[in-house]
Amino acid sequence: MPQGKQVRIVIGVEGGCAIDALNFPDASCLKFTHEITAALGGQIAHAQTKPEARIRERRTHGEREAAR
Amino acid sequence: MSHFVECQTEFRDAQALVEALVECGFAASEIEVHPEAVPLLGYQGDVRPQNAHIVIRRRHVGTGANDVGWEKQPDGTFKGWISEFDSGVGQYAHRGEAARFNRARQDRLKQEYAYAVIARQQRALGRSVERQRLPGGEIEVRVQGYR
Repeated sequence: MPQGKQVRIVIGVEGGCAIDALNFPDASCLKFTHEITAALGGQIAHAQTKPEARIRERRTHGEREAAR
Repeated sequence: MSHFVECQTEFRDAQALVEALVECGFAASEIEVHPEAVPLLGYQGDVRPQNAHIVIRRRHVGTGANDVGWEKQPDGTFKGWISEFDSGVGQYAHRGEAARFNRARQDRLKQEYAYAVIARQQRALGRSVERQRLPGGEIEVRVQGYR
């Protein structure tokens, strides 16, 4: 299982790309996939966000105390 | 949160296209890059109606070949000018592997272009880029160093 924030790209044998931004705690992953698709210049065939993979964001001590 | 996108690749970056051609076996000295499009020549040295900004002359393409080139279009993409002989299609479909720019090699060029353009962009942003060839012929790229 990949550790930490990263983007995995699989460049198919015909040159099309599947771009997967993994382990981002927030919506910044949208920005990072967009910068790569912009560089590639082609049409987007499919896009999907996966909020189920959301990583619990770090909470401050005050937030943890307030949640108790 | 994660985000998954599938997208096509278009030739838009001249430097990345040159890098991809080098990855596909052409020497950098065999690739001409012109600020203004120049005419392509046929296998007999005849001037063809097509012009291109990036050119590989026929002597570097193979025996009986024509010049191969990519011309920048008003929308910023590069259009490839590759003859039927050199792409091994139409009446030259029998050439198969002998065609220096057959379908498989054009696909490989696009694949290498995609890698070149991603790697250069991401490294310029201070990120690390790792590449490996997968058993099915795909290229897997991992980009790390996001802050």
